[in-house]
Amino acid sequence: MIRVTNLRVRYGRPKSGREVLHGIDLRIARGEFVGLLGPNGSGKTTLIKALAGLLPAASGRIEIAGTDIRCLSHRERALRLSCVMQRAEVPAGYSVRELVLMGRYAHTGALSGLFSDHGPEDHAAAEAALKDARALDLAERQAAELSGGEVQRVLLARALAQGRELLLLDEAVSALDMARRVEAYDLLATLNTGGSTVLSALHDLNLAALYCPRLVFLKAGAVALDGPTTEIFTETNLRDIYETDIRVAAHPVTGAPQAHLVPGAAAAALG
Amino acid sequence: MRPNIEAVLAQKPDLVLQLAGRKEASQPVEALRKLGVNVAVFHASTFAELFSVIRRVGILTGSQPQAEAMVRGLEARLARLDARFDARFNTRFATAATRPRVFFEVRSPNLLAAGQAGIVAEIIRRAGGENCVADPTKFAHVSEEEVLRLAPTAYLIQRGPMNPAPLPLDQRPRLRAIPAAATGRAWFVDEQKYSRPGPRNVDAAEELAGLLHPELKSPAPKTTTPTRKDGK
Amino acid sequence: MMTTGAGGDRADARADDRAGGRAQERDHRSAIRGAKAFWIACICAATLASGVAACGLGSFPSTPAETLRALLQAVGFGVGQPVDPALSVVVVDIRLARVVLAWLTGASLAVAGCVFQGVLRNPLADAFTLGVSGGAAFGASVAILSGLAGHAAFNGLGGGAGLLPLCALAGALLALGAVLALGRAGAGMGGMGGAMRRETLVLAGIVVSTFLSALISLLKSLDEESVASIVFWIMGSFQGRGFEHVRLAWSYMAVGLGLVLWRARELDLLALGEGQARLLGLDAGRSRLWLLIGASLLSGAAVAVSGVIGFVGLVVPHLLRLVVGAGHRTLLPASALLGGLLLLWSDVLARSILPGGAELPVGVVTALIGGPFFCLLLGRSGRMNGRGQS
Repeated sequence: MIRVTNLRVRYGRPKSGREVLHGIDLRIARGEFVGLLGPNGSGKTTLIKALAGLLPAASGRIEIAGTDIRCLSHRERALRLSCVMQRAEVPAGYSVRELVLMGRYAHTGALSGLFSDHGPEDHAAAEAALKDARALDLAERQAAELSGGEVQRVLLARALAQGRELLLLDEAVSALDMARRVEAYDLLATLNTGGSTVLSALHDLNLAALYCPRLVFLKAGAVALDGPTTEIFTETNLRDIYETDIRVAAHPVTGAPQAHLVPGAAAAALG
Repeated sequence: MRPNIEAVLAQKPDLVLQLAGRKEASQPVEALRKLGVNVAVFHASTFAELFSVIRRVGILTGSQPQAEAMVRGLEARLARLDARFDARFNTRFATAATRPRVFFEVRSPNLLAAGQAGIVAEIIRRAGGENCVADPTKFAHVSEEEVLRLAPTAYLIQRGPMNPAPLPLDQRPRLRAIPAAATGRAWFVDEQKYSRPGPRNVDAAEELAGLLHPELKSPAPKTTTPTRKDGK
Repeated sequence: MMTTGAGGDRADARADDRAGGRAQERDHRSAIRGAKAFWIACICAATLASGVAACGLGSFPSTPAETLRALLQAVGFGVGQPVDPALSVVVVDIRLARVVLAWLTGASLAVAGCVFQGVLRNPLADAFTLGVSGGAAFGASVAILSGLAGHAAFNGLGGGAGLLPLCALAGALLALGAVLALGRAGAGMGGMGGAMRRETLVLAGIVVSTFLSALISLLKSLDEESVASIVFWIMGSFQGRGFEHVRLAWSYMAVGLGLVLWRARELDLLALGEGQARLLGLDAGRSRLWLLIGASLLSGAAVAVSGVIGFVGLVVPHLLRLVVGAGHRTLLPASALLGGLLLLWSDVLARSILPGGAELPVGVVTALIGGPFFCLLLGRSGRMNGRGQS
C-alpha cells in the first residue's frame, strides 16, 4: 500500500534546506495498522506530511498503491488516501456537515462549481462518516464553536467521508480525553478490520502498543526500529530511543506491553 | 498651483501681486510678508472690483494715469453693452426671463459650472444673458441630470488649463436633449478671457453679447471669433 | 457488565433517534435551503424594485407614471403619448444607465472582496489590501497622462477610451503579479517550501499598493494639468457615466464572475488553509491563482468605469457571512446581489442628497452607509455568540 524508498525531505530550499528525514525505507502492506512513534523532532509529522503530498521529497520515492506520488494529481492522491493532521484550523461560518462534505471534494467532478450540488452518495458518505466518528449529534452545529475534542472527531469524520482505503493520522486524538481516545482507536481498529490501512503517528506509546500490531520508531530522521509490537516494544529499545528509564509491563486485560515511566529517571540519567 | 517661495524670492521682487481666492495661496503670502516682501492681495470677482484693482495696481506701480485711462475705456465699453440690453430687457414689459439661459462649463469630465459668485456670472449678465446655475459660490458641481433640468438655451465650454480637452456638446449623447444643443447655441470659449480676472473680461462680455444676440448689431469683436462647437 | 448493558440501551436509543433524526435532518436541510432561497428572492425583488425606483429619483422633476412610461418606451412598449425627450434622456440614458453600472460595479466589488477574503483568509482583505485597486488606478493614470485614453474618456468615450479598462486591468494584474512574486519570495525565506503564507501576501500587498500610490502622486505632480481628471477618476463616482461604460465593462465582469463562481467550492476548501485544502485534493496554488485573476478582473473592470470605491468589498461579504454562513456557493451570489443593491442606493443618495444638483463621491456614501451598519451587525452577532457560549 505504501512503499517508501530512501526518502529524504528538506525544509526550506530544495538543495540547501535543513534535512529532516535522512533516507527512510518503509513498506506498509494493505490492511496493516501501524503506529508511528518517536521522540519530539524525530520526523513523524514530516513523514506523514511527505506521504500526504504536503512536502516534496528531496530524493527517494514514495509509492501509494503502486503509483509514484509525484505522478498523482492532488485529486487522484486525495482519492487514494485521507489524512487527519494535528492542530487543524477550523474556519468560522461552516456547519459540521458542511465541513465533512468538504471531504467529498475529490469525488465531485471537475465542474463542481456553483450549480452542482453534492450528490446523494456524497450526503450518504458524510452521514456514515459522521455516524462512525460519533459526531452525528454535532452535524448541524457551527464547526468553529466546537471543543477541541469535538473538532478532532469531526476531522476524523471528514477523513472518513473522503475515503477509508488508506488513513494517515498525525496526533489525531491527542486532544481527546482518555475515553474518547479509546473510542477513536476502537473505531480505527474496526475500520482496519474492515480493510482500511492505517498509519498513525502518536506520542502515546501505550495506546499504540494496545492497538497497533506493528510499530515504527523514528529517531533523528531515520527509522530506528520497525517490527511487530510484541517483539520490539521492550525496555531496552524504549530506553535507547527515549533516553530515559522506562519499564514495560503487560496490560491487565489484553496482555499487550505497556510502558511505564520512572520518576526521577531523567535526573539519574544525567547524573 | 502653489507658489514656490524660493522661486519668488530669487526674482528679488519689489512687489508681489496675489489673486485672492484659494486657501493654499494664502500661506505663501504670509511667508513672503514675514520675509519683508511687499505683497498685495487682490480680490476681483466683479467688474467693479476689477476696475478698483486696476486703479490700485496703477497707484502701486506709479502709473496711475494709464490705469485711470484704461478703466475709463473699459467702463465705457461696458456701458455701451448695458445700454443695448437695458433697452431690451429692463423695460416694464419684458422680464429677465427672456434673457438666454447660459450654462458655463468650467471643467468637463467631472462637470463643474460657473456659479453666481465669480466674474463669469457678471460677464454673462453684461452680455445680455443669465447664468442658469443659481449656486451662490464661484464653482458648482452639477450633474448631467441637473443640466437637463436647467435646460440652458446657450452652453459655453471654456477651453484652457482647467478644461484641457473638452468634447463638443454634440458628442455628448446625454446632453443632446438640452435646448442649447438642439438650437446649436454651444460654443468653446477661452478660459483665460473668461475665468481669469483682467481687462480681457470686457472683451469676453462683448464677444459673448455677439454670440448670444447676433440679431443686435454688435461692435466688431477685437479678438478672433470663437469656434462654433460644430465647426461650422 | 452493568455498564455494558446501560451502554447497549443507550446505543439502541441512539439508533432510534438516528432513524428519526435522519428524516428530520433532511427536512432541516431543505428548510435551510428554502430560507436561503427566500432571502435571495427577497434581495432580487428588492433589486428590481430599487432599480425602477432609482430611475424616478433625481433633481429633474418626474412623476412615477412618467418614469414608468419612459422606461417602457425605452424597451419598446410605448404607452400613451411619447414622453418628453429630455425626460426620456434623464430616466433612461442617465438614471437607468447609472443604476445598471452601479449595480454591476457593486456586485463585482463585493464578489471580488469575498474572493480576496477567502483566498487570503484575512477578514480585512479587499481589492485594496492586495494592491489590485492601486494597480488599476495606476494603470488608468498612466493611460490618462500618456494620452492613450484621452482626457475626454469620460465624456462620450471617444478616441482610445476602450484602452482605459485594459490599462486598469493590466495595472491590476501587474500589481497582483508583483504581490504574488513578493509573497513567494518572502515565503521561500520563511521556509514553507515555496508555499505562500497569508501574512506574507498581505504584507506584499501593502508594500505594492503604497509604492503604486506614490507613483500616482509622482505622475500627478509631473503633470499638473491632468490632476483634475486623475483625481476625478480615482475618487470613485458614477457621474457622467452612461451605457457606453456598461458596454465597456460588462464583458470583463461577466468573465471574472464566471471564473469565480465556477470555483466557489474551492474557496471553501481554501478557507481551511493550504495544507488541509491540498489533503482534500485541491491544487491550492493553481486554484488560488485563478481565483485571484478572476477577482482582479472584477475589480479592475469596476475601477476602470467607476474609479476607486471602497467599503463595498469589505462590508458586504461580512454582513452576508453573518446571515447565510461562509459557504461560498451561497455567499458569492448573495454578495453580488447585495453589493449591487448597496451601490445602487449609494449612487442614488450620492446624486440626490445634496441640493442644487451637486453630487457626492459615491465612495463617501458607501462608507457612511456601510460603516455604522457594519458596526451594528458586528455588535449584534458578538452578543449572540456570547449568549450561545455562556
